[in-house]
Amino acid sequence: MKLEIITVLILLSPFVGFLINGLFGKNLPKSLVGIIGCGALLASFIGTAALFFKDATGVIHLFNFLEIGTFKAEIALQIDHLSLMMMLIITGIGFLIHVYSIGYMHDDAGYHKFFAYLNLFVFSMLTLVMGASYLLMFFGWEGVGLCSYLLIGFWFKNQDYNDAAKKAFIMNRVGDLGFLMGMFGLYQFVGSLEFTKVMAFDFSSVPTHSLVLITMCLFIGAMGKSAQLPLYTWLPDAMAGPTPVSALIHAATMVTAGIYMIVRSNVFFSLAPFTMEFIAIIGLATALFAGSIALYQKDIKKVLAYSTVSQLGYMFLALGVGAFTSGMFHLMTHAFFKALLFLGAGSVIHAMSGEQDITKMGGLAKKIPITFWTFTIGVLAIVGFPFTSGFVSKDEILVAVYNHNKIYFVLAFIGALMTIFYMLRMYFLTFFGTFRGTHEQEHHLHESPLTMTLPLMILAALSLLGGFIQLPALVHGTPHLNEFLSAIVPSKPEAEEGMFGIYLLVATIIGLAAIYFVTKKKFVVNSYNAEYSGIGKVLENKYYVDEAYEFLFVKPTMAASKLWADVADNKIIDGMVFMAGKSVTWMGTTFKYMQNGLVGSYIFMMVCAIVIIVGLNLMRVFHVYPF
Amino acid sequence: MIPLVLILIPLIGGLFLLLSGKIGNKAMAVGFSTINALITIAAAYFYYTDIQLGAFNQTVNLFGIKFLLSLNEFGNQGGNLSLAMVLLTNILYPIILLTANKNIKSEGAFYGLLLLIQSGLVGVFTAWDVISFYIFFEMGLVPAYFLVGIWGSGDDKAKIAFKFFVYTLFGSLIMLVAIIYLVNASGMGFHTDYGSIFNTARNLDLKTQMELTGFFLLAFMIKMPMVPFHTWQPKTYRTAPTTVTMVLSALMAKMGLYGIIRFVMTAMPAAYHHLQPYMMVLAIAGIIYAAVIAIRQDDLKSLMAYSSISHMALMAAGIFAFNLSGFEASVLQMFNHGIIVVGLLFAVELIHQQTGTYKISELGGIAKNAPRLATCFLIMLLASVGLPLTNGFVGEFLLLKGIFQSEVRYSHVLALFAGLTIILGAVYMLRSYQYAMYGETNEVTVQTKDISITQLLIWIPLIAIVLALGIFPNLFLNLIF
Repeated sequence: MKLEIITVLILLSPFVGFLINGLFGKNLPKSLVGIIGCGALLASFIGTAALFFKDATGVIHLFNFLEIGTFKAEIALQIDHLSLMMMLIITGIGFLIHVYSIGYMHDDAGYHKFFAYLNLFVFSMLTLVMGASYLLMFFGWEGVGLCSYLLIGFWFKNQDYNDAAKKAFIMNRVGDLGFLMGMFGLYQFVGSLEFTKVMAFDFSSVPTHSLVLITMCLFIGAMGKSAQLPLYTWLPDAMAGPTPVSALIHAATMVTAGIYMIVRSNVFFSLAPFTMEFIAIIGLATALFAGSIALYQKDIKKVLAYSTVSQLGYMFLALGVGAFTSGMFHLMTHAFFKALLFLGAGSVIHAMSGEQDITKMGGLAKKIPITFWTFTIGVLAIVGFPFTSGFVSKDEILVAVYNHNKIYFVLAFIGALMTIFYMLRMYFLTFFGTFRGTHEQEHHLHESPLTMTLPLMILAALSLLGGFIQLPALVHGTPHLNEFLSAIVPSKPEAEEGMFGIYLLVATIIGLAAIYFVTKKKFVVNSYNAEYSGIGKVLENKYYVDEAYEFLFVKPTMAASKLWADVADNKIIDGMVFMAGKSVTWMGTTFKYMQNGLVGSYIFMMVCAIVIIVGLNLMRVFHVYPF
Repeated sequence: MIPLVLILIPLIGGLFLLLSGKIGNKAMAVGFSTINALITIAAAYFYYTDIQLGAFNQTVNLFGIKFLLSLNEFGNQGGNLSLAMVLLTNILYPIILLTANKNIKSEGAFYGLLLLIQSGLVGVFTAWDVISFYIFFEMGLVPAYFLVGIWGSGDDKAKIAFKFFVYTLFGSLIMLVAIIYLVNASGMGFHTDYGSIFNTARNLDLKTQMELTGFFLLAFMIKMPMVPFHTWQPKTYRTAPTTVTMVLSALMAKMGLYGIIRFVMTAMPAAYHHLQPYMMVLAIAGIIYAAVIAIRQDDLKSLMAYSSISHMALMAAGIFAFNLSGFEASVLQMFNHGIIVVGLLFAVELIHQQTGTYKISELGGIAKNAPRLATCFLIMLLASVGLPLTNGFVGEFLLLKGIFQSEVRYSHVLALFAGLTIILGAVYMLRSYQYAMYGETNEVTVQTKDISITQLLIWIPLIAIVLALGIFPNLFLNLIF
C-alpha cells in the first residue's frame, strides 16, 4: 500500500469506528461494539508501526481548506519523527486502554457511547499530532477538548460531573484564546501557518519582543491544555470521568499536547529566552505546587491527577531549560507508567466496588496480585527507582536543569522527593496494612478480568524497559531518541553527560529511608483518621485555589451579568429609549393645547410668531447675531 | 428575470394564503418556499459554473419608477453578497416553515405573512437601486409586526410588538433622510442604481459623508441590532412564535449588516475609515456586554437573543476591520450564523413543544430520554461556540484574524477582547445545555420523547450545512468571492 493511503487510514480508522458506534452502536451487541472500538485503534497502530519501520516521512496534501486573498490554508498531514513518536504513543497506549475498557465499562448502559467518544478522541488527538500546520493542530486541539468534555461528563446525571466537564472545557478555552492569538501573531510575520514554512523561516527579522509575545500566547494555550499553573484546576476535577478516560486523556495523551506543540515550535521558542525562562519557572512551580497537594489527597485518582500535573511540570521545566528531547522522553515514559498507574487504580476501584478513598482500603496486595505487582512497577517507575524508565527520563531532566541553574535543580530535586512521598503513601495505604473498608466490599474483592490485567502487564513491561532506548547515554553515545528527533530538535553538544544517574540514585536512597520512617509512623497512621490541621489542611484543600478563582472570576462575572441585565440594560439603555418614546407623547400632550379651538389664542400665537420673524430679520439686516 | 421570480413566488403565495381564509395551510407555504429554494440553488449553480445569464438581472418599470434587481450585482467584482444572502434566505425558509408548531390558529394568515417577509428579504438582497432597497427594507416589517403582536405569547405581546415596530421604523426613517439626500445629490431622480449613488456619495465632502454615514449606521445598528440600540430585540425574540424568531434572527437581522456593507463600506469608504476605530470598539464592547448578560438568562429564547446580539456584533467588528479577511469572513459568518441560529431555536422549540416551558431552571435530564435531540442540539451548540469542523469555527477564526490584522491602533488588543467571545460563548451555551439537557429528569421533563424520524429529516440539511461548510468552507468562498 502506498504510504499516503496508510497515513490517511491511520487517521480515519478511529473516525469510522466513532461513526459506526455512535450511529448504530445502540443496536449492536456489546461484543461487536468492543471489537469495532478496539479494532479501529489496532488498525491505526499497525499502520503507524508500518510507517515507523519503513521510516516514512513527508507531507501529504489532502485538499484546500480555505483561501482568502493571500491567506491559504490547506488540510495536509505531516509525518516526521516527532509526529510518529506521538502517533505510536497515542495508538499503542490508546489500544491497550480500549481493550481495558471492554472489561471496565462492561456493565455500563452507555457502553457504545463510551467507545464512540473514545474513538472520536483518538481521531482528534491524531489530527493534533499529524496536522501539518498550526491551524490543523488547533483543530485537533479543540477536538480533544470536546471529547474531554463529553467523557468527563459521561455520567451526565450527576451535575457535579457536568460542572467538572464544563470547567475543563472553559478553562481550556482560555488557553485556546492564547493559542489563537499566537497563531495570528505568527501568521503576521511568517505569512503562513504550515510547519515546513515556519521552520524554514528566518526569525532573525522578527523583533524579540514580538517573538516573546507570540511564544507567550502559544504557551498560554499549552498551560490550558497541559494543566499548568494557573490553568491547572480543571485536571483534578476531570477525574469525574471513567478511569480509562483519566488514563488515556488526562494522563497519557491529551494533556501532553502542550509539550508536543512547544517541541514542534522549538525553532522560535529557543529564540525567545524570556519565554523559555518563564516556561521553566512555571513548570517548576507547577511541579512543586501540585506535588505538595498530592501529599494530602485521599482519593486515589486525585493523587494520580496531581501527580500528573506535577510530572507535566517537569516536562515543561525540561523544555524551558532547552532540553526538548528530554521533555519528549519524559512524556513517553510518563505515558507508560501513568497510564499503568491509572489503569491499576481503576482495577483497584473495580475490586473495591467503586470506592476511591485510600484511607478505606488497605491490605489489597494479596487479594488482587496482578494489579498489585503491576502497580508496584508503576510506582517504582514514577519515583525513579534505578533503571526503570522513569529513572532514566527524570534523571535526564535533572541533569539538564543542573546545567542550567543550580537553584532550579535543588527545587526540582525536592519535587522528585515529594513524588516519592506521595506515591509511596498511596501505595502503602492501598496495598498494605489491614483492610479498612466495609464487610460487603471485602466480600466482593476480586481480581479484574484478563481484558483489564493484560494491558496492565504490557504497560508494566514498557514502564520497566521503556527507558532503555536512551541507554547509549550511559556509555557516552548519542541517545537513540536524540538521534531519532534530530531533524526536529537540533541537538546541542552536551558535555555533562557523564553525570548521568547520580542524582536520582541519591534521591531514591534518601527517599526510601525517609519513607520508611514517615510512612511507618506518623504520616500513614494520621491518614486513617482524616483530620488534618495547619499546613496539612491547606494542602488537603488544594491551597484553596478553587475558592480563590470562584471569588476572583466566577462571582464577579455572575454579578456583572446580573447588574448589566437588570440595571444597564433594563434601566439605563432601555430607560433612555423609553424616555425618547415618552418625549413624543409629551410633545403630543403639550402641543395639543395649541389647537384648543379658541380664535383668541390662535391670534395671540400668530402675533408672537410675526414678532419673532420680524425680529430675526431685523437682526440680520443690522448684522446682529445672537446665536 | 430570476430575481423577480424569486420575489414574486413568495409574494403571490403569501397574498394567496393571506386572503384565502381557511384553505391556506402549512404544506402550501412550504411548497411555495421549496420551489423558491430550488430555483435559487439552480441559479447559484449556473452562477458558479460561469454560465452568464442575462436572467440574473432585471429592470422593472412600475409607476414610472425603474426598479433594478440583480442576483449577480450586475457583474460587480469582489464578491456576490446578494447571492450569498438570497441563498441563505431561500434555503432556510422551507426549513423554518417546517419547524413551525402544528397547532397554529389561522394557519393561512400566519404562513402568508411569513411568505411576505420572505419576498421582502429577497427584494432587499437583490435590489440594485436605493428606492427598491428602501421599499423592500420596510416590506418585511409590517408582517413581522402582526406576527409578533397576534401570534406571540405573553400578556404584553401587543406592547412589545409595538415597540419593535416603532423602534425599527424610526431607524428606517432616518435612513430614508440619508437616501433622499443622496438621490437629490445624484441628480438622477428615481433612476438611481447603486453605482451612481456610490459615485455621488464618494464625491461628497467628508463632513457630509460623515453625517450620512451616521444616519445609515444608526438605521442598520437598530436593525441588527447592535448595543446600545438593541433593547427592542430580546423581548421581541422571546415573545414571537419561535418560527418568527428564526426569521428575525437568522434573516432580518442580516439586513442590518448587509446595509452596512452596501451603504457605508462600499459607498463612503472615506467617512467609514474615520469612524472605524470607534465602531470597532463599540462592536467589541457589544460582543462582551451581550455575552455576559446571556450567562444568566433563564429563558432559552432570551439566551439565544443575547447570544445573537453578541455574534452579530462580532460580524460587525469584522466588517469594520476593513480588510479582506474581515469582510469575507463576516459574509461567510452571516450565512453560518443563519443556519446555526435556526438549528438552536429548532432545538429550543422542540423542547418547548414537549415540556411547555422555555425556562432552563424548570428543565433537566432531557438527554436521557431524547438522545437524538440532545445530539442535534449539541452539534448546533458546538457550531455556535466555534468548534473546528463546524462552520462556526471558520467564520469566527477569520473574523478574529481580520480584527487582529486591521490597521486600527491596538488592533491586537481589540482582537483579544473580541476573542473573549470564544470563552464567554462556551460559558453561557454549556451552562444552559447542562441544566436543560443533563442531570436528573424532573416532573416537567420525565415524559419527554425523542424526536421522530420526520423531525430528524428537518435536522439533516441543517447539520449537513454546518459540517460541509466547516470542512469545505472553500465551497462557499469560491462561489461568492
